[in-house]
Amino acid sequence: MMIRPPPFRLAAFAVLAALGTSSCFASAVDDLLQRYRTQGAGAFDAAVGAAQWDRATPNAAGGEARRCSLCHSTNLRAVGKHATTGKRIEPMAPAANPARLTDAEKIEKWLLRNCKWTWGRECTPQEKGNFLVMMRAQ
Amino acid sequence: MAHEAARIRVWDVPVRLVHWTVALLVLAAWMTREATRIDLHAAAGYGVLALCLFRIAWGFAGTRHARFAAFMFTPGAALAYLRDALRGRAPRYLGHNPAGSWSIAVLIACELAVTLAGIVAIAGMYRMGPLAGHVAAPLGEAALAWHRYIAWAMLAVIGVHVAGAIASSLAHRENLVASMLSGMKAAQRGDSAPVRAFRGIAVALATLLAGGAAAYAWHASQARSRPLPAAAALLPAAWRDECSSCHLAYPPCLLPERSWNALLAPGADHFGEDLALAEAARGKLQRIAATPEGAATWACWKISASVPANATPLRITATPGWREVHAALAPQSFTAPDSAGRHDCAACHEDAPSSTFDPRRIHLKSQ
Repeated sequence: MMIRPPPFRLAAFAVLAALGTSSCFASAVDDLLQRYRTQGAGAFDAAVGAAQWDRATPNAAGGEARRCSLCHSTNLRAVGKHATTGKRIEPMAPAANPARLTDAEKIEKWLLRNCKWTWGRECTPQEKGNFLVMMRAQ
Repeated sequence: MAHEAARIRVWDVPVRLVHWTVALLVLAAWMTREATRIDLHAAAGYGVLALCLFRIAWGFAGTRHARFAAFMFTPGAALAYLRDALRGRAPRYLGHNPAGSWSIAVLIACELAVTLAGIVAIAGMYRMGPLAGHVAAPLGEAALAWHRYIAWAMLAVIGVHVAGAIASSLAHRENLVASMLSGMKAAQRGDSAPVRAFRGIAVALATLLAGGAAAYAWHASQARSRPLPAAAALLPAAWRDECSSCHLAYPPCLLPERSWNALLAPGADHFGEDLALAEAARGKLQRIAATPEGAATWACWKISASVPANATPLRITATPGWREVHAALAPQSFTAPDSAGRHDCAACHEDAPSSTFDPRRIHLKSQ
């Protein structure tokens, strides 16, 4: 587990923010991965994250089984569609939508809300980290 | 027998033009009575109003039988005429008979009233027309009710007028419809020559009114609703961002504050989802719901006025006001491909993100 000294992180953040590049998301995701590790998660695996993405949970209400791709599409670079309202959802992959994975607070909020809706429970830090490394690699 | 061929001019050109143009405009207004065609409907109404004003002026400046002086009969005279007509012995009049005179006076009054009520209605409900921005939503809706009552009354008077013209034509063996087209009648003993009109006044009046009506109709079709003091642009960013992640950011004025509180409360079932809002974010949204922007629009007034004080509707589409306004729509308007469902305001309402809900910005796809 490598912990960068704070002065370097601050400088790196300042440079990246000044550049305004999509590299910014690396910071938000790295911070979260770090937080998940402190919460007990082990090594994160993009392949496991992809499997989680497709994992179906039977819908108690009787509708279609719930999985991430129900709203976000199986291709993370594609546009998705909200399962209930039909609203367009912008691509999840940072490569297709640079706004993704740039705001740690927003990522946490949506992981909480969407894990509860899709799987009926909160995701573990391990599962959340797997999602993030998978998404970042898209 | 030579006298039979003698024809006399009874109705001057402006009288005939006004008569048939108003008839066509009233027909056009009837056919465009759907809210989505309010532009054409209002244009027809402006035309009727302009022609009515012209006709009133012409009642003082026109030729003999156009003048009100020639058909100002007492109500008693009209009743006596109707009594005689029912017995089949009503006298023939060269110009307007007493009953006809009254039906025309009532029609002109109805046309003035119906168009003025319409102008108040579209100003209050849709923020369009010359009074836009000066009429509150409830007054606009009340004016619409009057607009409808008067329109039905006017249709009844038109029915009497047409029936009277046909009955009188048959009784006196003269084609009154043809006379209103050609202006001529076969002269009978005692018929006198027409009085000359003030032609200059006629031309000036007609040009002024027609030009004004056309210019205003064009202007009205161009103008969108006046910008609201608080439209979509002023919908607070916190509200817009939070709500529009999953659905249209419904203008908060479309539901009572207690409904929003029920939908935003911690652990509330938000249509199958737990919003799990952070404390600060929820507080901000609740403050926005408590002071909704655009609450003065007809759509917001209509819905909020329809919700009983003891009800807490969770869906805008569950309110009596929403249901009333959408009652005439076919069920397929609310299914794919036309829309994603009843919640999908923006499928038809181009201006759904604001709270204007201008009928001119409705686009029904399959109707």
